[in-house]
Amino acid sequence: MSSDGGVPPAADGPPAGASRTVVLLTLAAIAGACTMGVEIAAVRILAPWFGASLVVWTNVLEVILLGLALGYLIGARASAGERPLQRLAAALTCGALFTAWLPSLAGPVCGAFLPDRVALHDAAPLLLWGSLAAALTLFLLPATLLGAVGPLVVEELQRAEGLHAGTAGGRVLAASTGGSLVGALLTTHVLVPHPALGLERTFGLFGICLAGCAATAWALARRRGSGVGPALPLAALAALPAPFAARLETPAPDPALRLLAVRESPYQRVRVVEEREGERGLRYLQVNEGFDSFQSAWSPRRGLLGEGFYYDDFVLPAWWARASGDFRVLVLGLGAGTVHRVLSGALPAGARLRMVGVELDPDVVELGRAHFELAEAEDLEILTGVDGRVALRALGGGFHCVVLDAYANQVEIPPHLCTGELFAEVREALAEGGWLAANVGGFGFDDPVVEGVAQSAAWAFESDVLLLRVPGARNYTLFARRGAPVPLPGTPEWDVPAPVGPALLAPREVPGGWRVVAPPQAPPLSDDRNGIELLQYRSLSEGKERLRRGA
Amino acid sequence: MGPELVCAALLLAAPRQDGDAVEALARGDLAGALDAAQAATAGAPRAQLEAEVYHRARDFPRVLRACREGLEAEPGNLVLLWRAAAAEIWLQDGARAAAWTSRLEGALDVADLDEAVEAQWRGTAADFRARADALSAAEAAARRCLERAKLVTVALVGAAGGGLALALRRRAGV
Repeated sequence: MSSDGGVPPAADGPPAGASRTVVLLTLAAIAGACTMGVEIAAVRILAPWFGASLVVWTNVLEVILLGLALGYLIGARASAGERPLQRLAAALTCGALFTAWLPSLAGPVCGAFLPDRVALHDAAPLLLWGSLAAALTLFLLPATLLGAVGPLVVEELQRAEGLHAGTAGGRVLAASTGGSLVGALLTTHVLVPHPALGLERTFGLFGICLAGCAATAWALARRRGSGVGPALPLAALAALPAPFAARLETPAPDPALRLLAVRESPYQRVRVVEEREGERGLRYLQVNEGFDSFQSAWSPRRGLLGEGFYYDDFVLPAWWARASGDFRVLVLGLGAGTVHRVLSGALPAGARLRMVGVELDPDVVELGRAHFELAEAEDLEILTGVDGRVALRALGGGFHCVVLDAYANQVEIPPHLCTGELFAEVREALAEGGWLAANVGGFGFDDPVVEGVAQSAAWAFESDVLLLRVPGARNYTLFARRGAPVPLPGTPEWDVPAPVGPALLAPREVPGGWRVVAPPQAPPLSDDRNGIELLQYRSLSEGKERLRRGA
Repeated sequence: MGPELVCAALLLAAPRQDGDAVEALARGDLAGALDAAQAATAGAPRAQLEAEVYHRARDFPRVLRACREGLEAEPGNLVLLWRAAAAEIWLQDGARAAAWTSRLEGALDVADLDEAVEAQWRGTAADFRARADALSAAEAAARRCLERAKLVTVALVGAAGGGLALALRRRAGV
């Protein structure tokens, strides 16, 4: 078949044909697709416990690469034997089994490395070591088995067709890499976010594909006259029920909360929970819910949510500005619509809210519509599926306030949404005298994340910015103003009438309640040099000590 | 009467040099209360007011600082011990919360209190004790998880690395 460097076929092999080559390369392609699919979905399986930060991604990639390296060597050794096809079938069968049932193993394994509802300030070492240990336990073996497929297929091609090692290896690598490409696209855009599939069935599907590959390898082995016992085919059958039987156990909500809905979005695992008891009847939207945090809150009553909720601070610019008439607000990171709900019930009399809310994840907005009374109205336009920075450029200027509340996963600020350049774009989107109001998670005014974001904003606005500590929370709100100074305690501009002033400003008027950050020479976070992930890791690592030390 | 009311009663019943501070507290003017307290009082009463202001501002490290200063002057001050234990619970430090609770229980043993009021304090101390124990248990669970994760990582990476080395060695024909 091959004229490019062919060598005589092995004397003991059956006649080689184009169809056999295609079948073997297809096996390599499917194994490649499943390997890449497992790699991508692996992060999603870990995310409900450990998030999907750079640390977790790196740990998963390390483990998959370690497994593949090990698998290549094991495959290379196995291919030196007399029956590479049987060994290929065995590797695929075991790979199918482990892959198909991975979701069922994930809960117990991750739970062993991360206790229930761990406090955010205890999370840093567990994020690093726990995600690494869980990834090793769950994914090292399947990656090793799938890694062994390539060398075995190369060997079989070489023996059956008499190809040079380089020719056979090149073809297998091309098929496998092409399969990986398809696997990555399908996993991200079709399988995981598909309402009928999700993570559990995606892994089940990978398992069935690999079991099908294993069956094909047995068939080829049988045609060649090599005996295959019943054990392997029977074992492969065990992968078949996985899409319907495997269950991904995720961290349970706090016992004081009732689960209302859960969804696997293209970006994250999202759930809605509700307080079981108490008069407040609050609901929360939680994302990758391993820690004691939430991303949106809903109260039956519009307006201020009360102590511990940073969202309330976002009404302050309207009060400080003595707003009247249309008050145009752009929210980057609308979530399930908490900012709209708070502002629509707590603006000064005479101010009319005109809000544009941008939320990247359409499933978050869907859950907001279903459980948080989020709806387009005269005062709210919702843009979904659009990145905040893209929307900022597209929407033009003239806003009285831009609210930045963009968190990915549990505690991660997307790097492109905290840079000096981003804040410069926000400044351009504001009317003269307009306000930036941003939520920054942290454990003190000297928290590396709080400092980094505040200094980057101050650089872009070329003036002092104001940080307020949120009482009873691990958040800080950041205020900057285009072309005007921010108000400070003790000045007439600071004072706001009841009920907003006493509720929001009084706790900030004592030492430790606020801080001004001056603009630096250069932004610590820029599009070019952005260490936000490291700052976040430092923030969590030092959080407990910083929390004790105080502002 | 809950502990909040007990505390308020103690604040109001104390001989007052700090009427302005108490009035400002009642108005919700925390900065005014702090200024008035620092101008008019000293020792445990001043620390008590400062702790109250910072407690209302939910600035627990400052609550603790105020409590420590006040307790140097009056080691058995129930309100300061109570505020300190509550602050440690908010800061989620089980061991320190338990230590403050023990001091509170010790102070209650020697305090001359009305029976009903003492029962309230004892109930509060028992609640603190339970919450401190729960925090300590959670911290211990986190420590165990971390140790387990490190052990599993070292074992699996070691096994995989050993396997790689062995396979490479054999391939090289050593």
